[in-house]
Amino acid sequence: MNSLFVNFAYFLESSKNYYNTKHFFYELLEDNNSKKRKYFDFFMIFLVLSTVAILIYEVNHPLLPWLDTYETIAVVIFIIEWLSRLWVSSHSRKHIIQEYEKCQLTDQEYKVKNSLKKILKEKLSFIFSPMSIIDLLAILPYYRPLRILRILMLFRLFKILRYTNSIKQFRHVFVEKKFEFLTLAIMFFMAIAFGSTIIFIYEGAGVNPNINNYFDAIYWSVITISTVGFGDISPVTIQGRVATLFLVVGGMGVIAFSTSIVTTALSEKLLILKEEKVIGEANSLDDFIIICGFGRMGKVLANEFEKIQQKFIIIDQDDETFKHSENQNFLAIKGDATDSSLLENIGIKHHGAKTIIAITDNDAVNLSIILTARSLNPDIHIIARANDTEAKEKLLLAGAHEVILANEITALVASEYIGQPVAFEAIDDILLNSEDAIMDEIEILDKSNFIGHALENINLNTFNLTLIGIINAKNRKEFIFNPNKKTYIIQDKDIFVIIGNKDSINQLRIDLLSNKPKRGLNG
Amino acid sequence: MDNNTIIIFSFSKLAIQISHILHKKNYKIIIIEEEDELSEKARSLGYEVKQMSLMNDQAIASLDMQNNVKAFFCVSDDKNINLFVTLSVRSLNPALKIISVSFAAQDNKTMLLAGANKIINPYEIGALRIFRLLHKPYILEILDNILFSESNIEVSEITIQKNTLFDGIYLRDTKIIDEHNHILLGIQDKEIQDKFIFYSNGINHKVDYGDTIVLLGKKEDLNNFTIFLHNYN
Repeated sequence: MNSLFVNFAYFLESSKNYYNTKHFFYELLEDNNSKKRKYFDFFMIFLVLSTVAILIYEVNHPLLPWLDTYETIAVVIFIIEWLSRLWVSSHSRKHIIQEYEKCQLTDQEYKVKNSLKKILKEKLSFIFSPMSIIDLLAILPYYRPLRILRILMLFRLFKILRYTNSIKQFRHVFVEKKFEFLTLAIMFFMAIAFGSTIIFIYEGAGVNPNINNYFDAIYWSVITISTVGFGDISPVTIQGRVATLFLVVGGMGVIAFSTSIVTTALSEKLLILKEEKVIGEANSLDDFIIICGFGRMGKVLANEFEKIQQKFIIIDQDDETFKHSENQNFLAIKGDATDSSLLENIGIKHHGAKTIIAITDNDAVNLSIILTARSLNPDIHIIARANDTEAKEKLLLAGAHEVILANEITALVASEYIGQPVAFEAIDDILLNSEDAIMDEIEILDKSNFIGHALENINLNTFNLTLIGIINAKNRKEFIFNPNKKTYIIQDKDIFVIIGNKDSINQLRIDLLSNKPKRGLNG
Repeated sequence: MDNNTIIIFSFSKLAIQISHILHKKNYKIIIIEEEDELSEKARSLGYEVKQMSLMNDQAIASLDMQNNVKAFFCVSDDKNINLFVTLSVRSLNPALKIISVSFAAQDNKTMLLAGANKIINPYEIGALRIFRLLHKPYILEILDNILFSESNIEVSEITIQKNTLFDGIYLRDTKIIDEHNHILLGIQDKEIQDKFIFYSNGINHKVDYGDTIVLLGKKEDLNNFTIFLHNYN
């Protein structure tokens, strides 16, 4: 019997199909970063709302047969969902294997009941968890003999808690602030007990015709303390009115206290909610860049990416810079970019994150980001900023593919100004992507009509563009400076390096793509 | 001080790089630094150091920069000090070439108002370099080759003298530049000193003496062209 269990556990452990199936259900039900789960959650919310709508419809309409079938299908789905959650809540096979291997090591006899105890404990812990109970209560009313409990159908609405992160956080608020809420509840019950006892003593003995028993007194207290005051029961004695005054004042205190607890806790959770939203968005991106550090360099870089609609996500620890990034509507997370769990959450392992750029003003932090990123995804492209010359080598050693020493480049540019100030102006404009002129590249596609023709067939003067040279991707990316327009024959994959106005460059790109003879083009 | 002297105010990280590059180009470097540690560091690297503050006019006047200095770099890490020193140096030396550092695009205007001829922003240059690395790697490689390496292609500027080949002609009407295998990047009109006009902006600019044209060409072609212009005149 023991060996049967152990063999079966090992069989499951080595089965790829079993792993894939369980992983599929885990992604579907529990993985916050999974796209599948997002769709599943939407589907379940729809299912819950539609079955509750049927319940409301049923109140004063005869139940249509197809609605009954719909309800049956929904309940079957709820049951499958609950059983699947029970399945993925723990890994029973691992317990058996661990226990068995432990016994092997210590030369003890393996007893299957020890493993079963652990498995049962974990499964029961899931079954009796609040959300599991809600799930069961939502299924229960379908059972015909218990139709009287149809009101429990409303528990299905609580199931929505599972599928929406914001409501989940609201639930956490109550859990985290349970001490405050408990204090509040004690105060509330004391005030109710005090008020209802006073009113019952002074007006309960036939003095007030509306207070016939202690429940009436409690009802009056609750209505008064909540400041609702229906007016169906009102005090008729001086003592009763004094008690009312105290209850109203106390009631305002209770409301103010509870409101402040909830709002404070919710505002604390707001940051987490925002972070989850950003992580969710990041996980849905196909091609994005992670910018670690939103300082001066980060801001310029983010603006450049924004211009070309390159998707990116910013990570910065500083409150002010984080707010600044939010104000600009950039996707941003306030956090430590050296934290592997944060990088993992935003999808560094995911195929969507192509590049990570570490540009904080601290070389040690940048180095740490590089190593963390490399440990999580060895294939990711890493660019880092070095603030000190000495740090450049270390950052390269850590695994950065490119290291930018901003001061070095700036110094090189500035030194040009000394010898040739006018040439520097031109270079400066090109380097800073000024509105007057940018340097850009245009690729000749393999279906272009210009292939095989002389370069002079493309009259760049018509477009007010200056050709600097041509890179031929086929010819080991050799750069041909200022090629002869009469003798150079255009080849496929040629990349024209040109200087000019952005609009002119875009126009030439469009005209070349259209492959039709146009002004300046004789293809 | 001779006309080959460069004064660098504050021995910041950027100043270390600038002094290193200019020193290699045989400029005489003078560092102005108030702090002991940084002054000592500059001395240890072989630079002449004047340990002083430039927060008063007497100190600036004592440097005797009038007509004797090639350029003044104001590259402190403190934006306000840079502004103050730029303004003070400019008021005492109207003709001096001043290059100041700015750390944010919005500060460029105030720095120009203070009197700087040129603004350099390491963060902007660095960020655009990262951007090109990712999106235009070919362009970056070519720019690096032209600007920062010992490649064969160079940028060169030629100031037009009176009654010479280019004086009075329209840029688009001349084929001389093409014939010498050069690319004309643009021109700086002597009357609009602060604006470089790119050839690609479409204006057929008339060249007058005093204007400066900027060419891109192979080193040997540029040398030959200079000789050609000299002989032509």
